Amino acid sequence: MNRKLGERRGTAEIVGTLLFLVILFFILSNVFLWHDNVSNQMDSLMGDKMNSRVELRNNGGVLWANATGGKDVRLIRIWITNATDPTRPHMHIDLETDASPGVLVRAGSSADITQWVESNTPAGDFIVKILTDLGNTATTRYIHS
Amino acid sequence: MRQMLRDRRAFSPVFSTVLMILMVTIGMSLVFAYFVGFSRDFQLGPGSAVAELIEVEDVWFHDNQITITLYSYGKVDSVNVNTLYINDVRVQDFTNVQLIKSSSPLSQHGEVTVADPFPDASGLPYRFRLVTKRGSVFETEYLKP
Repeated sequence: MNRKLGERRGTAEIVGTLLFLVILFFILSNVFLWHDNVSNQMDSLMGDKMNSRVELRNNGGVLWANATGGKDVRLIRIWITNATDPTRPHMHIDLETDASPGVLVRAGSSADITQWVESNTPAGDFIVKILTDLGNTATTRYIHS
Repeated sequence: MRQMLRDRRAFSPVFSTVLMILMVTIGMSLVFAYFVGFSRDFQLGPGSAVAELIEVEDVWFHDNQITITLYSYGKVDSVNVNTLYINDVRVQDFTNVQLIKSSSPLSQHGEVTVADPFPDASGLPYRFRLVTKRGSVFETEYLKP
């Protein structure tokens, strides 16, 4: 046994293999941890998206964007389409720009977006759609008299 | 001292050991560099596919053409949409759309116009399938007016 332990031939191969395995383990664990981190971030994002529902209601000519989920909602864009002729150009109003972070609607509360739609449309029948920063949308019909 | 310097015995073993260490070091550095590059390519490429999210915010049918507006809200810096299928038919005249998360919020939105592959299909549903460069697939359905 002592003789075997004293034998030095083949040590280099073992050390080399161990070094290679250490490098491989280091790289693979790095990739695994990074992927795990990204997956967790995406799970969190999807959770936020599902928890930040939004609905758009036309209440007697006033357009209300309601945040019906448990999280605040940030409106970034309004789309306006001609309801009687959808082939006419679709128009959008950017609420989120370099100068503005969009319209924040607190969870459980509402925001009046009529001013944007009214000031950008002539008289007519329109379909109004809102888009949030987490990709949620809501649609309603609006008649601008 | 002079005698020691002139003594050439054991020069070869020392030289060969240094040479061997040098070769092993270079070899291991190459292997390490390869794996680091491999993992970085994976992280920037297909590995980040899970962090991509796209919302089709608007589809406009007009003059035998379709204008599709996209919004990227995932956790990646840029999304490159390079293939579009409409009702399982690959659109040939589709040009890449790059959605970039930069200092300007508007660069996360992108627009592309393609020829309508079914110009006479009024009132029928169109299923859009978008494929990104990293391999993510997003599907949505719109009714042609």
